[in-house]
Amino acid sequence: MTSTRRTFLRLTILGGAGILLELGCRREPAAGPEVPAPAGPKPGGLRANVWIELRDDGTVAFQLSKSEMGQGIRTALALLVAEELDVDVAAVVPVPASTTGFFARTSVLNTESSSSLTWTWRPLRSAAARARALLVTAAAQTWGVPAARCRTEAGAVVHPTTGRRLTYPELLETASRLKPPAWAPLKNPREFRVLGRPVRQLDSAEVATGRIRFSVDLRRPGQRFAAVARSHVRGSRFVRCDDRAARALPGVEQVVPIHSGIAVVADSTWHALRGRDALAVEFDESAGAGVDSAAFDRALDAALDGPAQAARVEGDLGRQNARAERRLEAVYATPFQAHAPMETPNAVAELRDGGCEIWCGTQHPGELQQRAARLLKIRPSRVVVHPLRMGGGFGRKEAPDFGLEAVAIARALGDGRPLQVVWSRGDDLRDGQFHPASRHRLVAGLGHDGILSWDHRVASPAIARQYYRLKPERAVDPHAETGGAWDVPYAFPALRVEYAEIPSPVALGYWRGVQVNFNLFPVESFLDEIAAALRRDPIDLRRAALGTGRILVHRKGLEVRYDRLRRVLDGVAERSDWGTRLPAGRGRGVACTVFDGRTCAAMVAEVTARAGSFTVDRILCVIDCGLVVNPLSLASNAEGAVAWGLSALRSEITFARGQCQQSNFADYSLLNLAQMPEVEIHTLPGAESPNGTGEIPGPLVAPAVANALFAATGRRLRRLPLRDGDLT
Amino acid sequence: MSAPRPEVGTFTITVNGRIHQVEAEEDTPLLWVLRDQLGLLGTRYGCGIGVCGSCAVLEGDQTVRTCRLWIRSAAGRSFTTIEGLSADGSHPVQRAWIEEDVSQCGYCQSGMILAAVALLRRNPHPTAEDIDAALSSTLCRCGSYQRVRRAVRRAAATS
Repeated sequence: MTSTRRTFLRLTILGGAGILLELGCRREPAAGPEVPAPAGPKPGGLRANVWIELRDDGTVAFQLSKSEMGQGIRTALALLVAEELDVDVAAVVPVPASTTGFFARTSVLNTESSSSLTWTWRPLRSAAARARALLVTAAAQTWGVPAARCRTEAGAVVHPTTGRRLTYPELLETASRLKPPAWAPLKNPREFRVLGRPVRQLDSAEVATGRIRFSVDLRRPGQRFAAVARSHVRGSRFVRCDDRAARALPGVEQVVPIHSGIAVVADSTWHALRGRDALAVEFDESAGAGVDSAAFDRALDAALDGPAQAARVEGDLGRQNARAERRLEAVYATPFQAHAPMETPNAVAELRDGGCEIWCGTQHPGELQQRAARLLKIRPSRVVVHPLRMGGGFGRKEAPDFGLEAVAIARALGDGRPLQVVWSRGDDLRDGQFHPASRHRLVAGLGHDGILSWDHRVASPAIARQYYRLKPERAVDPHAETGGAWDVPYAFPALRVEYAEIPSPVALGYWRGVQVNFNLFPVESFLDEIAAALRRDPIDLRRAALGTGRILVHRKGLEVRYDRLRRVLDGVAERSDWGTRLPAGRGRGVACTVFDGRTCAAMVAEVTARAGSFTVDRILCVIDCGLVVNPLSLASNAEGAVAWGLSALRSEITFARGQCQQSNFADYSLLNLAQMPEVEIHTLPGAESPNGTGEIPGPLVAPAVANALFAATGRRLRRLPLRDGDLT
Repeated sequence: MSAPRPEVGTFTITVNGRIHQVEAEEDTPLLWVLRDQLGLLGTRYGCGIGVCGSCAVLEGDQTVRTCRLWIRSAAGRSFTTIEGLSADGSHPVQRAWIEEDVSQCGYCQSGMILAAVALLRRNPHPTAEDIDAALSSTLCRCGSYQRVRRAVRRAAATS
C-alpha cells in the first residue's frame, strides 16, 4: 500500500513549529475525559496550546489524535508527551480528539497506513516542548534567573544552582499570564529517558478487569438501539418488507427504512438484533446475477492478457530478454478476504438543534464528519465526530458506512435521542467491504547467474475506484494498486510492472497491509523460483539483486535505502541459522520488503511438512522501522501482524449470486492459538525518527511460508489460500 | 408469518456473588442479560454462535459461552464475569496478563482471561499442549497468542 491512497485527503504537517491555530493561554476547565464522563469535579487547567493542557492536579492532558485499536498508539503518544515535558507517563492523560477546531481538518485524525507515529512525531513533541518552555519561563521569571539555568524533571522546574523547585501546578498561574512560545527545541534523541524503553500498555489493568470501554459499550441517556436488514448483494433494490412479526416482539419500538436497508429500533441491542431477524424483507437482487467467484477468476485470468497501465518501466526489456539464456514464467493467485475485527462495526448518532454528534470507533473521523454533513445537508462544522476505542480496526473502520447508518436512523426517528446501530458478525462479514482478489503473471529473463529482466503484471479490482468514487472513464493510479510490486527494491537491468484493473461488483476496502499482501506473495515467491532455477541461495540472490546506496524509486520521492534492507536481510539470515541443514521434511523460507519507502523488514519462516499437511514452526522477523518508541509494544504489534498473515494463508471469501458466502467464523476461519508458531521480532537500532510497523510483517508471511514449503517439499505453491492437499 | 411470542419470565441467577432477579424473554441469551440489563459490559459479543469465546463467563472450573445460553437455562446457576474475578485486578491471571503486556485491542481478553482461569482451576500445571487445547477456542484477531501462552505459564508458576 502506498501513500497515494491518501492523496485527496492528505494534510501536510510541517516541521516542529507548524502548529497553526493557537487558542492562547487561559485558564479553562479541563477537556472532558474519555467516554463515559467520570463522577466528581473536573480539575482546572491551563491550555498551553491546541495539543497540551496542564492541569492543576499535576496531570497533563493531550489531544490523542490517533485512535487506539490495539496497535498501542495511545500509549506511544503519551510517551512522547512524557518525554518532552519531563513528567511520569502515569501523569499523562490521553483525551481522544474530536473533529472540532484544529482537529476538524479532514485527515489529521486519520488512523491508517501504519503512519500514526510518522505523522504525529514532530507536532506532538513540539507542542509538549513548547508547554515545557512556557513553564520554564514562568519559573525563571518567578525566581529572577535565566531560563537557560533551569531544568525540568519529574513534573517540576528546578534551578540547580539554588536548589529551588516549583511543580508545574504551582506555575500555572504565572504561566497563564505569559505569551506561549511559538517554538521550542525538541529533545535530542540521545537524551531520551523513556522513549526506546519497554513500557506496558497504559490501559492493561482496565483490560484485565473488564473495565475497558469500546465504542460498542457507549451508553448515552435515552439511547436506543438498531440493527439493519440489508441485502447482501450490492446494487440490489428494495421491494417490500413485512414487519409485523418484528413489531410484535418485545422491546421493538420502530421499523424505519434508510438508504442501506430496513432498520429495527428497540430498547436494547438484543431486541434490535432479534427484531431485525424477524423482518421479512424482499430485495430484487438481480444485480448479483453472475457475480460469483468463478466469474472473478475468469476476469482475473483474462486481465493477465488484456490491456494494462504501466506502473514502472526501466531499462530495455526487449534487449535484456534477447540476452537471456532462460525464461521463467509463473502465474500467482490470491483470494478476497474479510477484516472481521472482533468488535463489529457500530456507531451512535444524536441529532439535535440542527447539528449532529457521532460517537464511534472510526479510523477516519474527518471523512465521517464530511459525509454525515452531506447526508444531512448541513455544514460540516455542525457535525462533531467523537472517535472511541476500537476492538480492532484493520482498515474496516475507515469506511463511513456504519456511522452514516446511525445518522440516517437517528434522522428518521427525529426525536433527538442517541441511536446506536450495531452490526452482527454476519453483517460484518457480508455487508461491509472486502480485500480484493488478485492474479499475477511474472516473467523473468535469466542470465548465467542473475536476473536480466523482470516483468510483472498485476490484475485486481481497484480499491481506489470505489473509495474515491472515480468515474468509469477515469483510470486509477496504477501505483495505488501495485504497492509491493511497482516499488520492488531490486535493481534489475530491465523491469516492467503493469496494472490491469477488473471491475468489482462487490464492495472493496482497505485491509491491513492492503495491496502489499497480494503483491509481495508473487514477488518474493517468484524470486525464490528464480533462485532455484539458477541454483543460487535465495538470500544470496536477493543480496546480489539489491543496488547500492540510495535510489530514488519514483518521482514521488520514495527512496529505497539498500543499506538498511541489506542489514535486515543479513540480520534474519544470521538469526535463523540460514544455510545450516534442517532434517528432512523441514524447510526455511525468506521474504523481504521495503514498505512505502520507509520501513524495511525481512522474515524467515520455518515449516514442517508431513503427509500432505504442514505446520509453521517458527517465524523470525527483523525490522528496521527507524526509531523504536516502545519496543514492547512494537513486538506485540508485529507478532499480531504475523498472526494476521498466517490467518490469511488459510482463509478466503467466496461469492455466489453477488453475495459473500461466509457469514461467521464457522466458515471464515481465523488463526487460533494452537496454530500460532514461535515468533521472534528483532529491530535494528539507530535512527532519529519512527516509521510504522503495523502492516509490514503480515505480507511477508505468505511468501516466507511458501518458500519454506518449497525448501521442505520441492512443491511450489502459487495460489492462496493454501490447503493441506496442495502438498501431496 | 407470526412466530410465537417468546415467554417472558423472571429468572434468578447469581453473578459475581450477587443474586439477581431478571425479567426477560426466556430465550434471551445470558450475554445480553449481562450487557443490557445488568450493565456488565466486560462480557462481549463477537460472533453470536459460540465460536469466538468473547462472551465467555466462568462457572466453577469451566467457561460458558453466554451468547448461546438462554436465561431460562441459566436460571439458578452462579457465574463469574471478568468484573468479578477480583476486586482490584489482583487475581494471579490478571497480574500475569498485565506483567506480560498481553492485550492489544483488548476486546477478546475478558474471554481469554476467564478461559485461562478455568484451565488453571482444572489443571494447575498445564503443559504447552494443555494450554493450546484449552485456549484455542478463544479467537483473537489482533494475534496476541504468543503472549497469552506466556501469561498462562507465568500465572501457573505464581499461583
